[in-house]
Amino acid sequence: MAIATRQQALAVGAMPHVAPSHDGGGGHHDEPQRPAMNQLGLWLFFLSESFLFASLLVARFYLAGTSREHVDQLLGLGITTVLLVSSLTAYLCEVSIAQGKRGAFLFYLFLTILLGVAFAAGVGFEWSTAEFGRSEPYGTAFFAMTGLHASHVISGVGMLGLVFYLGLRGHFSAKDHWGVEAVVKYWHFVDVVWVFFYPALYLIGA
Amino acid sequence: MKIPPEEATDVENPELLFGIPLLIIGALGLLVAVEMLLAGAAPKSKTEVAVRGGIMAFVGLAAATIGEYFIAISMSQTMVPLIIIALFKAAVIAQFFMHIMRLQHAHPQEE
Repeated sequence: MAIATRQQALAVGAMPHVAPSHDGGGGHHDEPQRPAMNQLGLWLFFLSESFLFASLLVARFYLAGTSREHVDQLLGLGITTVLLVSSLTAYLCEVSIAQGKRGAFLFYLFLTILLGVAFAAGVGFEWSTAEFGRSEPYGTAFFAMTGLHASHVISGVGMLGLVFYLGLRGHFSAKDHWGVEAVVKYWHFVDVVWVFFYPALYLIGA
Repeated sequence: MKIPPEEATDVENPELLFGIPLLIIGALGLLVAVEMLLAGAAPKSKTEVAVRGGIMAFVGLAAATIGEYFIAISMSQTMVPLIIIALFKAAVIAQFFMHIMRLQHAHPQEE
């Protein structure tokens, strides 16, 4: 978790691309190479995170087979919808700043943060009303998977909040918005993970 | 008195009771959104193209989510179709929202 948070901070905060250094003494890469290297680094980070989530997904079926305990279907569908809509607002936020529309960028970013908080609250409610314990096979998988995913959602909300704060202070522009792009991509990655976790936890099995 | 499984009806199943109307409302909303997208004039600016692409991807994801929920509450063997739908949704997000294909064009030497 600490490593993930540090990597995200490196991706967003005080990005070399956001605040370029022209002294030539800090990095190993020349200025023109940075965007491509940033992209590649971010995707490698996603790849490494994928192994972590994939191992939990496999563990769910190893521990509980294809059976599952009773979960609140409507709540599951609700939080899935919230995360899906947040992906759209995050996308519109990125498109807005790429076109230099600062007002729309901040609006969609704020909306994404609210939806992220709503998702985390929904998971918290699910935890408090769960009819199974942590010691049961399905419960172990359920709490581990939703817990790790929710921790990523919360760290994503933190990063979105940081971008929102920087955006309010005038950072980022149509030409220079790698910090926004990186955090939005991270948010989409969190959504991709839930795309697999939702059916595994809520839909598959009886 | 406990009702035997064979006598239980859909009315006693809250997922069906509340899920079906929700799915119908969601499907109608999607139809309206698709119609609006198709009926509108051809996008003029780069922003319009990007926004329209994002909304189309979202409509596809929402339709797939409704589909997987419907499959889960109405079928007994759900593993394979749900995995296929999940892979489809992940591909849509990676392609339209994360722009994964741009990676192959981002050669450091060319920038």
